[in-house]
Amino acid sequence: MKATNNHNEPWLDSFSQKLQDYEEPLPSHSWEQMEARLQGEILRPEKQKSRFHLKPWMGVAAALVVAVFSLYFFTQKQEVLTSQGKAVKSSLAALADKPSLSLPVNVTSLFCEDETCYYLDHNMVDRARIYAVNEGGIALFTAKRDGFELAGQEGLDSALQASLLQSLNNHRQLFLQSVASIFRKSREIN
Amino acid sequence: MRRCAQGDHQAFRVLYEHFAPKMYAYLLRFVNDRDMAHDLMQDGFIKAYTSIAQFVPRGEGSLQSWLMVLMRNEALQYLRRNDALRESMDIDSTPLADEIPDSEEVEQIPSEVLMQLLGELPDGYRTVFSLYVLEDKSHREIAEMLGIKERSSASQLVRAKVLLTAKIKNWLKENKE
Repeated sequence: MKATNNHNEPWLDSFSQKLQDYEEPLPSHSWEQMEARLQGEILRPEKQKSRFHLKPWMGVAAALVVAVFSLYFFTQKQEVLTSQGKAVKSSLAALADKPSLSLPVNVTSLFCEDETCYYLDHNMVDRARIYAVNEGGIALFTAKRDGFELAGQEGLDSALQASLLQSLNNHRQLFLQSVASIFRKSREIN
Repeated sequence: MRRCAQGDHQAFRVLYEHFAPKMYAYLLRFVNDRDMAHDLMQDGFIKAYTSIAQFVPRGEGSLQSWLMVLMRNEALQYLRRNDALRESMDIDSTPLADEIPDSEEVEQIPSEVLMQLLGELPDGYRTVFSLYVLEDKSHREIAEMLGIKERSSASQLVRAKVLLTAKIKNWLKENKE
């Protein structure tokens, strides 16, 4: 019989044997969470092996095309960044007038779209709480199993509330993944 | 396995439901935060899902061993990122137990209590103890895995055993009929 690290200390052998096949019950909805994350994985395009053999002139042509497109996308990206920066700035300015429903301290901006920024509340660990802020006002949403629900708002008319809710639910998958990832990172930092 | 490799979620669900409780318990040997252990386990399963086509079965238990390696990598990466593997207690401040427990005493303690006592150890001690005692790794292997010195692995093991002995004795005293 092979000597183990514990052969001189029988209590360690017993300890090891008792935990050998130990299983821990999973939290509820573990598979549903896993499935949501897998959906995100399969949405990513798979890498495929190239069936073509590159000729030198093809490399030069490809480099030229890449250079032209990079320049184009760089300028496009700058525009997106500028508009996002504007959206963050205007959404934060809007908060100054809304003391009764202000953002908590631990928030992270998830993303900005159409002059509205979506912030995630770090303090909520069991349930995602997301603030949507734009120049019109601020709305608070909580994540439910089948979508997001409006939990409070200030300064938004019903049409704008509905449109924010619609937008949030359209991006539900993205939000849930971001929420999981941000919670994880914030726990690592803490 | 073939259906998993073809991206069949239902087949992967069967695999997940069979192995996840064991992998979750395995991760809790390294990370004493249930939510984090669960997150890391799912990260490990995503890696399994995306690379299952490359897995070559090598007899009974090889899938479980492969999953455990994936999970262990996730746990150790997490611990290293959080600098949790440094020794966290001076040897002088480690309380000494009067005597080591005997194996009959350990056998009468429920497994979940042993997990809980193990979870109470500092991260570095728990990790070294788990690798050495539960997985039979040498100090050289542990040092390589954790990026620490062999001497540090050995000293963390000594302290882990001393602390665990004290905790076991304490539990036995409190739960004596």
